Amino acid sequence: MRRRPGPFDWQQLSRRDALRISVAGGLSFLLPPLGVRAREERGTGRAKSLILLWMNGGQSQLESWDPHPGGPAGISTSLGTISTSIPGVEIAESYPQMAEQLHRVSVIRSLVSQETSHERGRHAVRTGHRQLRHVVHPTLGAILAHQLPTVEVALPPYLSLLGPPRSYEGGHLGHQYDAFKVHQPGGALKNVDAGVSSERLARRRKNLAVLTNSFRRGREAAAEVKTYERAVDRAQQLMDSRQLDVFRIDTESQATRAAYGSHEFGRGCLVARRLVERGVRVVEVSLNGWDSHVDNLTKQRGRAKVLDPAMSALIDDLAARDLLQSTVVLCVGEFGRTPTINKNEGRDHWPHAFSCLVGGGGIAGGRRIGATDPTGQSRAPSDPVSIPDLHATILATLGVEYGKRLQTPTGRRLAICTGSPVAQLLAE
Amino acid sequence: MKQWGFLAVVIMATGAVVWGSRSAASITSRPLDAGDAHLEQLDAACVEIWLRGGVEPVGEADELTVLRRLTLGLHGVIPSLAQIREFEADRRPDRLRHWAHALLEDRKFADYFAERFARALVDTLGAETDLYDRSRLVTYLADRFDANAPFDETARQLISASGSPAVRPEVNFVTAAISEDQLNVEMITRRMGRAFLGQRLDCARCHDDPYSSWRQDGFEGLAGYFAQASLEGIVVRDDATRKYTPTPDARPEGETASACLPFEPQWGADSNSDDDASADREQLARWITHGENRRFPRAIVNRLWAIVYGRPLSSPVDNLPDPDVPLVLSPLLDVLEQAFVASGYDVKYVLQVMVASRPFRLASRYDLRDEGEIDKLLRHFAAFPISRLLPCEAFASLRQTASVNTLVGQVDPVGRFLEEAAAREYGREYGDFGCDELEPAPVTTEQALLQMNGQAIRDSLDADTVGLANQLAYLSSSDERCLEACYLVCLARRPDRTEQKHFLPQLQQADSATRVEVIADTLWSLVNSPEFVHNR
Repeated sequence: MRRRPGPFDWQQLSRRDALRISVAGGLSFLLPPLGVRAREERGTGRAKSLILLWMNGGQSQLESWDPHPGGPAGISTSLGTISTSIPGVEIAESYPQMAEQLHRVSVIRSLVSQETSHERGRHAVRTGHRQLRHVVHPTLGAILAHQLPTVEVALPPYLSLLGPPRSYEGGHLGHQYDAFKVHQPGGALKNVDAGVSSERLARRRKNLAVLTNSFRRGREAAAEVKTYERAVDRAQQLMDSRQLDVFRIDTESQATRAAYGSHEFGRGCLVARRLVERGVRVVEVSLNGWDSHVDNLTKQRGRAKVLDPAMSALIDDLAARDLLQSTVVLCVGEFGRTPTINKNEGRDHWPHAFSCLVGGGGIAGGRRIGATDPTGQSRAPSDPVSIPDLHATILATLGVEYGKRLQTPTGRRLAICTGSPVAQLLAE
Repeated sequence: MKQWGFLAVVIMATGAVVWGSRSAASITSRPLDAGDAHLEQLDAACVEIWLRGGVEPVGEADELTVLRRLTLGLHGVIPSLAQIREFEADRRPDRLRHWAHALLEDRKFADYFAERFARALVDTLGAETDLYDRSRLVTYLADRFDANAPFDETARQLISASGSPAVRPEVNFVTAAISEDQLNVEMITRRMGRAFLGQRLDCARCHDDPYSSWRQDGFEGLAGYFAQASLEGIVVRDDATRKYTPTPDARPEGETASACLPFEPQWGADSNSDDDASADREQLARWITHGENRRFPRAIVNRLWAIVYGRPLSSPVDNLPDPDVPLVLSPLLDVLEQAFVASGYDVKYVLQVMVASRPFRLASRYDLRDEGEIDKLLRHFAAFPISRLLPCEAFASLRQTASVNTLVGQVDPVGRFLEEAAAREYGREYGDFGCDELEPAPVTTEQALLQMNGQAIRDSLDADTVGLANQLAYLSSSDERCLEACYLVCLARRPDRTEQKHFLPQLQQADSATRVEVIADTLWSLVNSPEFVHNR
């Protein structure tokens, strides 16, 4: 069961509470420094961002946000459940810290997709569209990078931390909207240090300009040349950026780093917070290892040990810094897992009714949407939320005209999103 | 399955000895005749499609540019300074034709093509079982390419492979599709379709493909052959009674499908037996490689062309239209298909025809500005298409720039291990697209950063080490010769006047303390130029 805070429990004191107390007591200098942009614009006045926590492989809804305690054997989780800060909502006991933070987000227990394979499932949930043969849809992150006004930061607008190397997030919008990939978050960004003096670097760049001009002659219109030049320009801008310290978490206090967890996903979540603080629009942080066809319970419980501290620390930290009002946080994977346990004590792919957490940025918190059949007999959940509806909710919250049509390179005009916002999530 | 792991490792370790005693049929490889009939037909077909398409081919590229294409296309690496000097000293008429043959006879060709084909067959992803060893499959393929074994025979061995993957390395094609201790029948069927039929059968898994003639029952029939295979301990064995069970999304639960050839079943007949052939994977292998099954040779020549030209004749490389569907480039595919079949599926011969043909010798520059016109020019191969180097090519080329001599690879096991680890790390950072490597993908910011500041370029060009910059600083007889050597090492060409005007003063003004740095910076700029990272 969830531990209830006592009348004055320092351990249960949120960062936001600490902020209030310290400001009131003239102790604000003790708090971690806020980024320039966060200092300038706080709360709802800030440009909005999205942090997507991607549960790669398919998180089990039964061992996380939709546990069905006391259900039939072979369906219900053998994990215990705990109550949460949303009255009447219980989650798996593997998430004690998220139980404390749940009121800041909403739980959707009726997410519906049509795709049972990883590849198609990822495409559906990340883009909001089913995979087609002749069109590659952009991901939600790429759409936001494309549609939202650029915030003046010398950082890529869309980053993927710990994500798959083979991914083309930009889809038909073009590769300039692909996510910038960071494989080892938390340390200095790799390969941005030229390792030579500024004079030598300047000489190299002049040389490179001469060689680029040589190669361009007779190939001015070649797409390959243009994209290469663009990539080199962006790389040089990043090398010159004064904001590269955003990737290093060693300036964060030991307590903050410990709160996120001493694993790469936790470090990724902390970097994600630092990035949105600087004005980056979209950050994805991936957590692998959810595909539990065999020994589901052990795998799901193991992943929860990583997700629970990292996500709860992220939400708490965003709230303490008044960034949660401007940052949508979405935690979802490509599908859920079957209500029934298979012969290998595993759960297989289940897109018919699974769960996600979403909140922040103006999305209502503390709501529970939909319900699944505790017996596992019925596939269809109550109050189903389609993937396009989830996308429409987030896009509308972030100020994107989600029904707008964009022209693909082949001349087709495709709607950004075919869903409708979930009213319960928009209403405050 | 864990108990089989140790046994598998032991057998893997001893299997090489057994395999080493196997012999492979081979086709004697000879330099292409100047008047080769298929080469003439291919060139004539090019002229025909250019005329019909109303495009004027661009002029010819210089020979050093073509040499660079040859080493990149056949060995996956830029030419060394030593090779360039040797080539320029070669006075034989049509020396490029002789060089193409020599490159094909070098083991580097076999190793490079084995890796490229392995990507199509099993991708680059890691194993889910101790019974899969990708490197053994790559070595098997390299041995086959090295011996110039008929490719139809190689395909048959792969499709029908059974037994222990340690003793018969081709079985690793099957064990690569093991997932959660079971053979993923759909995965191996899809891979077989893409690699050997040039068809993406993905759609037909669940429904008739609206874009091709493949029907759902066609996929299920093919999958039925692989469904007979399963792991028994550490060996792959077939049982004719086993059937394919489609996923519940594709068919009502409980339905199964037997092995069945989708069309022209007579192609699967066993010519060595009067009895009706049993529906096993050997029958499937005969059917796929039957002389009248045009999909097989077309799939292979389309891939070979894509490897040496950087783009296929029909894109995507693994999804050709039905053979009778006319394409702009059908005449080229037709000639190459005939050449491949008529030569007994001789890979080295067909590659020689490809690289001796006119499109391979054309320049990659043009005077056009209109994107539509340029697209048309390139679609007709009326100019050589520039293409980005793959990570393995970019890494090998970076390594080559560290030396004026031709790198032959590490001989000692420790050195080889470290070099392979460095290549893997480079590929991981660069983003290795595995079986999708031939899909168009532009250079990303991360890749540009890796190329500019990554460990590989530091290893190759660091001015503080006894590297190429140091060698050139002290061994070049003049600044002009030094600059020329930099250009030849990195770009396989000499600097033009504009470039000389820019670079020479830097060398001339450098003192003894800064000369190595200036050369290192010149080399850095050259390997970061768009010209270095593209095949052009």
